[in-house]
Amino acid sequence: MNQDVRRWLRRSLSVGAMLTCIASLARAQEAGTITGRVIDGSTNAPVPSAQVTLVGTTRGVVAGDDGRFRISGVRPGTYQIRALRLGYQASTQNIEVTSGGTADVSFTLAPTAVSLEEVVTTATGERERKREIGSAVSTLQPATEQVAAAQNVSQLLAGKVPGVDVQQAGGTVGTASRVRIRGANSISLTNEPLIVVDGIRFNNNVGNSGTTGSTTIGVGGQVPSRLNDLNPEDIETYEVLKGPAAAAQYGTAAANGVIQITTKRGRSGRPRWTTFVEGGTIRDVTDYPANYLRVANERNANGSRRACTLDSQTRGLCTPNPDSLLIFNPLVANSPFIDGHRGAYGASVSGGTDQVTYYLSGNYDREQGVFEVSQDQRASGRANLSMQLRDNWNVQVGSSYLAGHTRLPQNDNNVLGVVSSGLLGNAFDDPVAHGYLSGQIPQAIYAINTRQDVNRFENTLNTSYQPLSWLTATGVAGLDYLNRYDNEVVPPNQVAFGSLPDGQRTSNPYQIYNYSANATLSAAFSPFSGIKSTTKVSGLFNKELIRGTQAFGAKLLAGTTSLSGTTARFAVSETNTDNKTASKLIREDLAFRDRIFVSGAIRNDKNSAFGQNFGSINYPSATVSWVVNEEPFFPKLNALSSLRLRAATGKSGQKPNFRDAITYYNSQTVTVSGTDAAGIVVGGTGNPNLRPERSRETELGFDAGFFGERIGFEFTHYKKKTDDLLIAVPLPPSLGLTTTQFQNLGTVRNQGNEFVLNAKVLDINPVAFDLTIAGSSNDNKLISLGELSPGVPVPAIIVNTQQQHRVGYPLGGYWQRAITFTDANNDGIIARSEMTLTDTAVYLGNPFPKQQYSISPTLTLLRYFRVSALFDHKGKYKLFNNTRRFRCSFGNCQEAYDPTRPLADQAASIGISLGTDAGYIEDATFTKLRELAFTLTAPDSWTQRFGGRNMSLTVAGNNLHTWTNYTGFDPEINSTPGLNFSTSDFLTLPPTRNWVVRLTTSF
Amino acid sequence: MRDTNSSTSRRATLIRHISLFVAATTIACNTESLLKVNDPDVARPEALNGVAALPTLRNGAIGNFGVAFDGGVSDVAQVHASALLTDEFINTETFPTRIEIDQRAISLTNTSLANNGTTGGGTYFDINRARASADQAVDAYKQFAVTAGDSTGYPEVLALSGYTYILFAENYCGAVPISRQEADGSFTFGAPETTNTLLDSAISKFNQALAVRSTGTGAPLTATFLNLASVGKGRALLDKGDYAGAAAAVANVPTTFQYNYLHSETSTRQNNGTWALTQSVGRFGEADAEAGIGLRFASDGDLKSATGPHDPRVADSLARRGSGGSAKGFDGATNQMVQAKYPLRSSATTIADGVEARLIQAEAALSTGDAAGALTILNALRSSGVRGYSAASLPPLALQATTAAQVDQLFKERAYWLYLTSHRLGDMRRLIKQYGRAVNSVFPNGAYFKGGTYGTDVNLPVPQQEQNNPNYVAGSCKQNEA
Repeated sequence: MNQDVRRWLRRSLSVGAMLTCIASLARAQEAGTITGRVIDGSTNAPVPSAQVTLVGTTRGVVAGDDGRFRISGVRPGTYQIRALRLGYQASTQNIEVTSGGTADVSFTLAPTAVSLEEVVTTATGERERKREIGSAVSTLQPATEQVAAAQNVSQLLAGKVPGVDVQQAGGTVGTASRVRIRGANSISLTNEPLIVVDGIRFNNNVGNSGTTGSTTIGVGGQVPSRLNDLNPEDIETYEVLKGPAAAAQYGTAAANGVIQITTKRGRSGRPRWTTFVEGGTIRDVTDYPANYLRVANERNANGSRRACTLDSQTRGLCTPNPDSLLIFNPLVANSPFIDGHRGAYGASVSGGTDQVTYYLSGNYDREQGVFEVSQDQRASGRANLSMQLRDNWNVQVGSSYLAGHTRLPQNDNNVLGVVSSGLLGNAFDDPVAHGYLSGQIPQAIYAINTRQDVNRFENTLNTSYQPLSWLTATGVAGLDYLNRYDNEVVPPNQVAFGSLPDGQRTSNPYQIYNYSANATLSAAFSPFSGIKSTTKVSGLFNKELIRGTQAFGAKLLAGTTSLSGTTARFAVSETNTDNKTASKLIREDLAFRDRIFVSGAIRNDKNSAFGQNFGSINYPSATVSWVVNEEPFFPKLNALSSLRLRAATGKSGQKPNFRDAITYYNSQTVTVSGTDAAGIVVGGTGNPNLRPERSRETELGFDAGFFGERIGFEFTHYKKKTDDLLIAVPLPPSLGLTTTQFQNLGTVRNQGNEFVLNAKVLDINPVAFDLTIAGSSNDNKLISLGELSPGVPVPAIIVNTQQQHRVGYPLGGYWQRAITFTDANNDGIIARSEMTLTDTAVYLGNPFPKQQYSISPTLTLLRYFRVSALFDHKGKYKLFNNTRRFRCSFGNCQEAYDPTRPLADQAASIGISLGTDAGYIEDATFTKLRELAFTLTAPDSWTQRFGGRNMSLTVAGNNLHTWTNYTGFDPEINSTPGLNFSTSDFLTLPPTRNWVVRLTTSF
Repeated sequence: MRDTNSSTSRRATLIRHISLFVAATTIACNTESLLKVNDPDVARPEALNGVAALPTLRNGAIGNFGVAFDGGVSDVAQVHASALLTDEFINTETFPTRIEIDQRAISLTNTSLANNGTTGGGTYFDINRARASADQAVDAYKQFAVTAGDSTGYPEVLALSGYTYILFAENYCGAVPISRQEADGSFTFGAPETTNTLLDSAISKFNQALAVRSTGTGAPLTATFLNLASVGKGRALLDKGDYAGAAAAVANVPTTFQYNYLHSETSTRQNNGTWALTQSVGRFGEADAEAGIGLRFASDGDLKSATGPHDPRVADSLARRGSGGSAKGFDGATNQMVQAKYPLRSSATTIADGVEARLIQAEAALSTGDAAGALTILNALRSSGVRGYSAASLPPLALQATTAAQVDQLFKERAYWLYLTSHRLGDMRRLIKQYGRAVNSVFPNGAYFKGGTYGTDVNLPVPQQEQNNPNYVAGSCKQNEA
């Protein structure tokens, strides 16, 4: 623990001690008690888990399964008490609490498709109702069947929140998805959202890098997921703050949006146990194409025959040997695929008293992927404790632990990859490799044991203290500690490639610490009748510390699997990075008759990664929310039962990476006079003026309820502009420095619309039918790349051979010389002479969907049987089918030899030789039946016979059918999910089809 | 709202505590020390100011030159780019950027030449970094060295800088800018320089190295550094067509002299890149009369030849990679004759040696019409036992009847003696420029064995990234001009 941390801890403890002293001054009073029940207005059934709070205080409880609640230790007085639950209209009542007395209150909540009364968490830890917020905040509280179908946090978010694009990437268990909210903002920095769990920052690194990645050992493309370190069973709600308009108060971290996760809390009452057991299948359902080869009659100088493609034939370079068409599919003839499976088991218990509640859980799940060496297993536990220490002081502490073990197969862009080795292999069987390119069967390569072991602790402390009726102090502190161990062993003499027969060991332990600490004072008063003012002052501190060691050795002693067994080519290095942010925040909220809400805030950030010539940055924000239907002048209409107008604007940023602003040298070993000596190589060309990227977003929208709130409709238009882009400006190589230098240049714009339609279409016993339709659009455009010098614009930035950042077009757009062709001689074969290419590269499309829609119907029969589905559509984007392209460049694809193949396929294949991949950049628009779930809930009379409360059986499937014109294996494939923009379908294991059966019991 | 009913004293106490809380929070947020971070992994520029850093800067210059020349395991270096573009190597892999080089159709966006990666930057990037690193060391010696002991390595880094200019001149398109970062961090961008200008800069560097002894800096000009600079100067003068000057420059260099870049197993950056790209992962094979134009490196050097002794200077054998004993390269389709000159990842690479000095003298002799004298030098070299080659494996050559044949003989000797040392591209360009040969009689052309046809490139281009240099003139690089 370094000095800064000790200093921070001392200060935190001092503050805590002061709060304790203050609390001790509170004079004990003879308190009263509030009891009550919350029931469903349409069915008279209890509403479990409803939140019941005393307005304007820190007091609140969660109702039990029977809808009952009890709040004790309440000082005598008159209160407003509010009950709310997702899916119901909130209800507020006045109640009088007398000294030593018990006040009883009952709430009857009406189901609603409108969600104005939901509460969300602010950046500094307070809770506020959605009606008070002028920005769009999506809240997701997944049902059991959704958790079962999705199986991890990334997939839980897929297709469920408008504006959130979860790109699944592949079918390897334990690997990451790419998540984008309202488009990509940054060219050089991460575009992944900030993850906040119970108020503290949660490491969400993705990629293949020591400092910003989720692993340090590459296996070809797929990378482990940090987001999926979270156990979905423990999560109560997901709140998505989609951009700076909503997330400005997160400052230099929130440009990509924020996903706030709240874990489950205990409920007062006797212990309530919930257990589940789940089992299922994971299957590869892809039809892989065979390898093709036709050889020429002519022979090379050494007697071998060369491939004779249609292109070579039309150019007179060869004549095909008529009997030589070979077709062989190694992936079918010697299939490496197995039927994977999933098993998960978990139990949780919650309960407590009016003063103290607890939630404890433990889970274990194990996934066996479709390759023998693809495995992911996780064991986790969580303990959340909520304490009402006094009537005006509550404390919540939480602690979770995860032990994860992931074994990753070689795949994607990897000569040893399973899919790649088969698809690029031979068109004939052979006794050793059985057609696989790598010269050996995949099972031999399985000897490479690439693993990631994770131990992750997350500890949070949230407290709220209300010393005076108008004054509240809140504090949040916590640590997300990730101990990650990337390691790989290649036993000697088992894998025949390069130096691998020597055997080798890589051992990279990493410790990543994310500290968060916030303290806020909030003063509320009413300067005039009907107006409530709340002023908040906060201090915030975040620190991310990475300590990593990379060690490698080769020539491994047979029988050993650690570095101790290596005997040569030792390499060792360290990664130490440290980033700190210190912030001040002041915010003023004004509420007019609880109908009009105006809020303004400004946050000031300093960050250790800013350039030395740059001081601090301010992030202002403002929101307005007007619940217009509650105004006296608004007509009382049944058709339009509620209407809220809202507007928000705000600015947030993104810090440079560690060392982006400084010039530095790395060490290199040099052999001089036969002795190893230390030399230097330039590592970074710094920029002392480096500033954070600044994203300003404005959004306008409305929430409307129709027909007595049976239909809810939310619409939001947003426009986001990111300035001062941190662009890794390619330096002229002639400088002899680094390839790039970060400069604040350029502007990116994202704009679009989002909507959600919730409808309770039918609610007549015994049938209920709910429908949610969500959609969003995103128009991403690079407005400027800035200038190298006056009048000299930064040229287009090359992402890879197919993708570029060009001004006026979406980031990462596909650019290639376009092909046109015609079969002029009608011979059914496209020759080069029948093709025309544009002189220069032209824009062919964007890599990310511009449109997304989802439809989620839920049908409930007899209250006991429920069917739900998720149809997910993504459109208006392209995907580079590099799998097909590479197979054709290898001469492995059918269209290289078969004149019956479509002319466009032939032209695409020839295009490779002409220097363009345009024929393989395909429309990837698709619609998926992403989830389907059947849930059977046992009647209470059944479960009570076993002493239980609830029992349900769910059968759920994921990735069940895809409608698309994309010719690759799956339009969601991405061989580089850890990279910002590079997107291609390149020899990746496609997403698998999964089914699970889950039995959930509570008692 | 509930009735608070608090006493005045309690409220005052509360306010005092809350004031303390606010003060503590404010202090916490204003403390600059909170934002201080440690960075123990790297060296900042200020750590390199002073005499104590001179050995480190020298080592950096050597290491960066080695990586640019043939080192590392990531991508092609000067040796490999030269070998691919000429008739030394054929491509036996799948990477399109390197197939482009072998096919003589290199795009300006070829990421093997330059890319925006964080770990490597490409061939052009690496050679520029080697030059800048050597020049940084030169500047530091000038600024900080006081004693002779301080100056050890000064002529060496001058010579290494000179060699980077030679590689620019021999391998690139005759429009290479030289830029630099000034001490204050600002950039000075260079304009495209012609081949002759680059060679003049190289000669200037070598002259500075050779003059060290007389400048009174106290730097020890050891025999090694003297010979290193002499061969470099001779090579540059030869590239300029000053045969007599070249011969004079190398006259005193002993045949046994060698200046090697010492590869090592210690780190991947120190590995012999040619070994890695050929013996380890099968990217390139020795060419054998590539496209019917090139020299028969593979046949002549075949260690398993049934027709006679192999030439040890270009030794090779058919690959046996993989458990199945595949003779194919990485692409699984092309037979790969694997070079045996660098059999280990630690095999040293010769940057300059006495053999090259003799070859320069032979060419100078031939340029005066003294074919017999040239042949005498060549045969003396073959029988010298240098590099451990037996005289039996290198029998004497016969005098060729025509000047063209004599030139062919000389250039073949150069090609074989200097195989895989980044000389061949410069030599083939000289055959066009200085000896009037047609491009298609020198470079492989016609149908390309992996499909398509050869392009027209005779040099490596200055890649697109250089267009970020405001003084660079787009289009000034002519890839089809020798």
